[in-house]
Amino acid sequence: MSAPQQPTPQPAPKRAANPVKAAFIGLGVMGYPMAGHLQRAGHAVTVYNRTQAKARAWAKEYGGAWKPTPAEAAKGADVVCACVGNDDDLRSVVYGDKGILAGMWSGAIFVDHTTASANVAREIEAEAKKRNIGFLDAPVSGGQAGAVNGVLTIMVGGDAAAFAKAAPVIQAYARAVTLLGPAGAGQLTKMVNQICIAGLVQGLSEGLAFAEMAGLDATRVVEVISKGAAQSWQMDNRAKTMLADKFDFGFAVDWMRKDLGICLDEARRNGALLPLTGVVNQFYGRVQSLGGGRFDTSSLIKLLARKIPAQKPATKKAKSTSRYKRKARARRK
Amino acid sequence: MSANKAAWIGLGNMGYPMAGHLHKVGWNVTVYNRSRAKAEAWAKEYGGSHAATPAEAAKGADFVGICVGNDDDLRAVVFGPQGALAGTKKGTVLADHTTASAAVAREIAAKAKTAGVSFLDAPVSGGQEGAKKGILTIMVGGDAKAFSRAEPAMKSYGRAVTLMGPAGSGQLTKMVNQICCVGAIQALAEAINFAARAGLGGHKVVDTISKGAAQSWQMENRGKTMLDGKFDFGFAVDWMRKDLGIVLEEARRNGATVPATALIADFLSRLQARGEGRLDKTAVIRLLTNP
Repeated sequence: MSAPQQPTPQPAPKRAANPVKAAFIGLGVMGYPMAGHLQRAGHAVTVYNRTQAKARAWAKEYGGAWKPTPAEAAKGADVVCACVGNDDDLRSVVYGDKGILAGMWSGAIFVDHTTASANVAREIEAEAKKRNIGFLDAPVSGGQAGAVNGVLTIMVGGDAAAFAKAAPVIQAYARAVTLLGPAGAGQLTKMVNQICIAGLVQGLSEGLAFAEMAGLDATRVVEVISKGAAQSWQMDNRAKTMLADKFDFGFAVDWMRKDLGICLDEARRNGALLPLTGVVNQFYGRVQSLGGGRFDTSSLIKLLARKIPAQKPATKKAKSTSRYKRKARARRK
Repeated sequence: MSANKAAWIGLGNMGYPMAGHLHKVGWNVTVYNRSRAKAEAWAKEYGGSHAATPAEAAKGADFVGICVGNDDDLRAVVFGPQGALAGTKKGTVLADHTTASAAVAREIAAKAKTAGVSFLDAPVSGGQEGAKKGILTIMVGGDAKAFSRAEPAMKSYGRAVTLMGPAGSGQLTKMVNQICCVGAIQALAEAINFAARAGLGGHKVVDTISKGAAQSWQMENRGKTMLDGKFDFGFAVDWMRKDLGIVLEEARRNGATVPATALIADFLSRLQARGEGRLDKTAVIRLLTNP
């Protein structure tokens, strides 16, 4: 039987040198712990969430405040952060009488962590500018584990003055916060990231499935080739679970499909050719239609011919260990 | 192995320094190369000897290292009256470092066995740099006894020498390696070109995303050269296309599905048709930047 999952120890909060009044809009799997890090760093945080129960639970857990609308939550805040689902969700919490922009004071900064289009980032920046509000598009990478452990990589687009004010605040949940260019540059960088991951995972899937079909000990093969030019984060962190046919964790195919849709839209606009990314996007569509929308992105291998060796009883324990190690590694980073 | 007589067949970019390492650790090495001048140069540089045919070079050797171009080159130096097998004695181990098919590995292993000779398929990774420094990764197929006898010799130019399974397993492992490499390279090419089209600073973007889930050896070691449009080095498009040809053939045989690999093989063919086959394989980005 597998050992009980070790609880993730809470890392010590990073205390902010200059605590501010902050707001956080959207308490999903990412936003909830991110807002928690802000509060624990010493900032006075007010949250909003579409489902109110989540906002209440958050306020109870971290001791911050919650409000029934984005505008009320944003009122009086120096920095307002958002992390919602997509372009439309974002517009619905930003605009209108009850939206974020209606509640913010002139001179405050709005930081959006949603992975969204570069277009919506530029659009919101223009709207914010009219009210003398700073805007940063700031999508993250590092997944749920990165959010829980406060070690996200944050890719930021916007102007340098707004960045300088907001960076020390969002540092509460980040390992790296980098300004990459004007409004939209954060989203575009996240797209570059997703393009790399899509092709890498497909290549890894084909390599592992080929190894199985060729009758090789795929685990051993990975040990050998991961020391050289074939190495990748995906190989180091996903090959084991892929070979064990385990996908009920991680970054969901549905989300990846959304992100690749954004990449392909943007590529149509800027003229970049994405032949492999386009194909992999189709493969993810196939995984969705097979009912795998909630599977981890490494589930691309499920579309390939395979010969999965019979599981030994010991494998189960080994899997839970590797999962724990993965978390431990994320914590160390 | 008690005695220390060895032979080396094939003194290309890889074989030349590999044979040198073998000689430097104390083996008495006789080399053979198709163009003789190279063999003479090698003998002069390292103080070993050279022979006019693979059979003569292999005569009396306990260990024979081979590193040639492809399946046909390999058959040409192994079989026939002047081939390496004709010169070997009972108990010799042949280690072939060519990246070739698993089928030719099994074929040679079977023929060698009837002559009382052991054959190991032992393709390498690590490139010319790895060969020069003697730090190659060597993926070996064959039987365990032959492996343990040849391991000390291969260690002279290999940092990680691993027995993967029976004859052909070394080649199959190398194929998995190439599949993973080209997937990573194509993805990186598309990402870097996308970044340029989007007006981003590519170097800063690569620095930022290489800290996370998009990281790869290729990103860390080839991202910069791709951004700078530098392709006059490394592992040529021609060679990678050859390797993927072997992969696709083997996949047809074992039933593996490799759609992205097939797509990338086609991209490499297009580069060859444009006369860019000698560039490093990261030149796949040129199909995006200069379509």
